[in-house]
Amino acid sequence: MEVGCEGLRKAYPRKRLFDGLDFRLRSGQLLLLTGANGAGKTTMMRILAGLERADGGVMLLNGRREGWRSMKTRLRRHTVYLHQTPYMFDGTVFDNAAYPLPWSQRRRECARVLEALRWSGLEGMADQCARGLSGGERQRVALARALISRPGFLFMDEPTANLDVNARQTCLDLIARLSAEGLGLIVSSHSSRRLETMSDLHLRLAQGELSPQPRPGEGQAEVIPIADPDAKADRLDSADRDTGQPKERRSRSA
Amino acid sequence: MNNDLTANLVEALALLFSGDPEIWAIIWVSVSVSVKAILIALPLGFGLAFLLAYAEFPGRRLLVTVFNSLLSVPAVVVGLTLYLLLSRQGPLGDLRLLFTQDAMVLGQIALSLPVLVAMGHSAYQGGDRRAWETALTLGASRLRAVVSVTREVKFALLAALAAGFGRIIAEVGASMMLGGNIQHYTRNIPTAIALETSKGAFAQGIALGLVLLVLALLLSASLSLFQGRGAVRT
Repeated sequence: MEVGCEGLRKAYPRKRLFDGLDFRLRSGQLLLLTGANGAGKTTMMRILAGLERADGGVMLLNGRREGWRSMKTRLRRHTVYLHQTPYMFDGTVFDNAAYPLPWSQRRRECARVLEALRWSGLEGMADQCARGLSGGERQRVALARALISRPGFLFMDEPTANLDVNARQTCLDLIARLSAEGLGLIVSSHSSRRLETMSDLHLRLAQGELSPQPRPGEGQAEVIPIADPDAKADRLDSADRDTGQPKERRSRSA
Repeated sequence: MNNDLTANLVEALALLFSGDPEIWAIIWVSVSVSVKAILIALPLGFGLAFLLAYAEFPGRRLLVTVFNSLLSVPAVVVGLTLYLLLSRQGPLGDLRLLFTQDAMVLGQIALSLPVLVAMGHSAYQGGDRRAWETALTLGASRLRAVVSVTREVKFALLAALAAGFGRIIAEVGASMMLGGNIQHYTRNIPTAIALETSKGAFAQGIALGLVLLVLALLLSASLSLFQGRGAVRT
């Protein structure tokens, strides 16, 4: 699966953001997107998620090439966009996690919802009011909720902003697991050594252009080929939580 | 003077509790006409309010301004306009609706719609736009996303509903002009109060006024109850 855009154009009344932006993301790829405030990171992800209109260009999704307007419903079906502060609907943690399911399926899929909550470390909190949760817990509910909707791609807008150290580590752990499970991910962030280490690709958005950034400890930009899942799993395992530096690669056969 | 007031009040209560058929027929006309009107205006008003808050189309701001302005149009002017439309010489005269309950319903829809649209628009606009986007990005259909967003602003919408119902249950002008205040048919509480008071039958006027007060109190109490429950949950 692949999502992206060709020749994407987007302008606001007093600012031109993109004028011919090209971008592609494949399943299983974890992209770290950085850039200054107002560079267009959020807008780019929202356009790719079918939530914000593009002024021009072609959207790409699983071999299809269409304009944004005709592609938006399909984009919404295959992607999930997570706000910087995820929105919690009025109700319990379970209600929120089960939101992507139709009402008729909620009872039948109860085990799946509870499994997703367990996956995100929220077991035992299913009956709590979602709006009473901390920022980190909200992120975890949002990730569990995204998992339930089974998207091909997940776009996360500064998921670790405003989180304390522990909540940030938990969130990054979950991102790593989602990536290892084959989801295509874009994570926008101002700075995170661990994200830089985990990501397959680090792109910086500035003046409407995407430019590859060097990986930590390396002199130039490198794209880890996603065709090599072992290499990726090794790297995700070896990302050191404290320093954010990659450890020496272990051989999977060892 | 005090004795008169007390005597009228006692007589009014006696009329109410004795089940006076005249009084209860008037109350029934009032409640049934207003409930019908609000039930028809509700989906229309909140639907328009949602579109004005979330859809982008030319003339949207103008429409918001129009509905806000319509809030202050007197009921009697709405009644007059509909009277001219529904009268025999009017463009809708063939429908023969004038001096019927249906005409009163139409008038009350026209009166409550601006309240529902203007207050509903404020409610939707004051809500968190992330609710709409979260619903869509999680794969909800447009209809389900609308329902989700509506649930999120339900207390503000309930306040709009209470204000809309309050506006029509107590209005005199449109009901008088469109219904004609016909006994046992189009005579509702406000038109009956106006008539009885002009005849000097204060007891009946007070009895009907008390019913209006109780209705207003019930509406306000149920709204507070809902809002209270919401405060506990969030």
